[in-house]
Amino acid sequence: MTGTATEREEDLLEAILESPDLDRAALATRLGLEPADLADVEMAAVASGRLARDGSGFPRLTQEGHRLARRIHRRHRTLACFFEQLGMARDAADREACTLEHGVSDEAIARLADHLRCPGRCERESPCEGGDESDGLSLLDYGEGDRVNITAVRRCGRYRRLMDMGVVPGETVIVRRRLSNRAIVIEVKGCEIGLSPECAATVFATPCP
Amino acid sequence: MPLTIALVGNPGVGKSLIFNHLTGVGVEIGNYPGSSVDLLSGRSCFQREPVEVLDLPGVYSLEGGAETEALVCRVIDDEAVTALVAVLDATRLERNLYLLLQVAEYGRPMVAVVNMVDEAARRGIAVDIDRLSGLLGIPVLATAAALGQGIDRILPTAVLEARPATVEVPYDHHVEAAVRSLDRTFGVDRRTALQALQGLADDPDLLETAGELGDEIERRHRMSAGQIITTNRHNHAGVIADQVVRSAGSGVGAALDRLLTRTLPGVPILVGVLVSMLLVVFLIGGVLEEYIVEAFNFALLGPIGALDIHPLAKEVLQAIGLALQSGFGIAFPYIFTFYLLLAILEDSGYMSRAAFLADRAMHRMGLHGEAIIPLVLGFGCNVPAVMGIRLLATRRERIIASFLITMVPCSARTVVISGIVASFVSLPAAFSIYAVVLVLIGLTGLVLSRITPGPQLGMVLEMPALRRPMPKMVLVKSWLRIKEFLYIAMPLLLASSVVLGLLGYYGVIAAFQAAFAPVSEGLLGLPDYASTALLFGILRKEMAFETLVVLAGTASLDTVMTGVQLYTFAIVSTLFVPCISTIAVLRREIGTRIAALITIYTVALGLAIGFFVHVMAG
Repeated sequence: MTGTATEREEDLLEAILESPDLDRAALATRLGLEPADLADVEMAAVASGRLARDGSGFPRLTQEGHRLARRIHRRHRTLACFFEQLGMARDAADREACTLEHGVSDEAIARLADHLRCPGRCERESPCEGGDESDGLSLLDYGEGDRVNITAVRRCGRYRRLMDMGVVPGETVIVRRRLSNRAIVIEVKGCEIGLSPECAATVFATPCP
Repeated sequence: MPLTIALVGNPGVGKSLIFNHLTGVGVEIGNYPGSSVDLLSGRSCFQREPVEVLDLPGVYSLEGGAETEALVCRVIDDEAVTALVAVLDATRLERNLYLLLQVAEYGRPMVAVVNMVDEAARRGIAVDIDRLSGLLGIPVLATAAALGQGIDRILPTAVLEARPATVEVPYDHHVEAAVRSLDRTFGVDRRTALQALQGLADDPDLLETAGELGDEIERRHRMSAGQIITTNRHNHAGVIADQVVRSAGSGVGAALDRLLTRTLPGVPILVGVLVSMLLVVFLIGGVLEEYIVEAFNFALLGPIGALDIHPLAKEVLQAIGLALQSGFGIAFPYIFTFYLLLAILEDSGYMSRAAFLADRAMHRMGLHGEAIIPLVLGFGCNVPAVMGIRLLATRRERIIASFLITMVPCSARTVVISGIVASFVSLPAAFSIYAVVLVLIGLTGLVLSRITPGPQLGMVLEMPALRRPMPKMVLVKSWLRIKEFLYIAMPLLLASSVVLGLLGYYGVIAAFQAAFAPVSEGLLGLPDYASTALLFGILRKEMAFETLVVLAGTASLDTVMTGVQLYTFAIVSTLFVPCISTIAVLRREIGTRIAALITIYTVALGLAIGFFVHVMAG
């Protein structure tokens, strides 16, 4: 029988999805449950066909359980990302997301995800968002004639076009011209490409030796 | 099944020129990235069999998610296409191979054409064609389309020897693993799997699984799957290019180019170029127009006037005659001259520099440098200019640009300004109208950039090498543009002219004049017949002037209207409502709602400015 999953059941499925190898004690700690309560939840999940016990009696996600766990996980990620973007600390955002993830509708999540998708907004969704000090300076900070090595391209705006033009990590480019309006012309793969300042700011590079 | 071959390549590799050679049909050829947005097709012949040749829009990639790229993908994947011809620029082979590697993944029969070998030779670049053919596993030809060399071998090779490329990009092993896993789960081929990893797929399940695999790859590499795939392709293109390209030259960056893309003297040069272009159009157009108008009067309108037929039939004939007269009287002297000059600028590669310089100013108006092309095009005729907004990246930019373009004084409005203000008031007054309109365009842009929803992306613009434009290609390009103008605007011109003639015949116009008199007299301080002239201007801008002359009963307008009245009339008809052809194209390109908004906005703006001039000076 597959009824509606309880919040605890959803939490359990999500935890197993994220860390399939946790033992029951660790699972219980993580979910803040007594071992006895965990056993109850597990039993309910097995009864609803979302969990199955493998040969050694260890709980595994069924296809149905996997689908639900993924859905909850996505809700969590989207909500947490949103809260972080609003300025909340990561832990607080996670806690808030944990509470809301069970009640929120899929439509709301889909719309929220669309809203967040505009890249450059949330580093959690795309950890390689990148382009911090460790990647060197942005192209804006280099002068004419500088030969630089691209280290990272932030994924926002027209990054696809940039990458298709050959502005990819590892590529060597030369800053050909800088205008007073901060737009620059770079030479990459023998072609000159003009970049407006907002695009140049998303490309990070280190000086070539 | 008829033979069909499609030309694929980056913008500015000479695809259109090759197409032109193959089909003999005139076609758009541009140095400006993305100038051929439409799919062009033409007919050729091989061994007495017709061959359909398609010229696909120039793209840098198949997987960037843009509309044109999706179109190119569809054609590449279309079984009806017998062979693909990948056109490469010998001077930029590595970057061009990146696209070829993507095309190769479709597994369709193809050949490669290394074009511009002449230019490459001048720059000390040599490409080992046989080696390249071996590496790619397809026939490769060397051509110099500008000289017509090697073109004759394209059709036979494409029809007889095209085959799927054997070249395969070695992707990162995590990517390869993900591709295999998607193949096992969904039974999709390599190319579909790679696209799904980059978020391009129709099947939501495939997309979701690919997304998870992509997340996993991203966690390991600190780079997204898309970035890794792109980088792998670039690297492989680099590996191939290293083996086949021998370069002795220093590459790009001429002294002239340094001047053009610097704020000083670049910006003054840009302004100078644009202003002198308009002045030349103004001068040449004015002289030529007189001859054409005279010729039509003599050969067409005179004889029609002398006919002894039913007055209704005569009215219709006269309307058609007038439409032809003003259509050609504007089209050739003003618009064609303008297109010729613009084609010279585009083919020389200057427009890319202009776009680069104009980027900041455009940015304030919510646009990017690229938008300077359709805006400048608008000085010729708003209709093709509005069609040019297709090359802008976002709907937000297209909306803003369509507002601004419809305010740009086109050739027909130039006729009104020069015919009324320059002739009867003064030349500085005529220029002041341009100044007022340009300031209003700027202000409108500033406001629109704040209130139009949507993201503003940056500009990434390839700067093609500066080169001498070829007279033939300039002519071909201008001819295509004027043909487009004639096809779209002429029928509308004819229809509206006939409708107007009939309205006049049945007395509807007189009724309108009476109804609109309060606005005309009270708000703008113009004689009541001026409202009729303004109405005619909606159909065709320059008719505002002609109608005014007819209704005033004299060609010496200064005897019946004051200078302020003439000035008011000219500025109102310049701003007031785009012409009916423009509205029709706006509707097609950007939707009924925005087209209606633009119309309402320009009417309100025209009346407001007219009222302001009337109150301040009248």
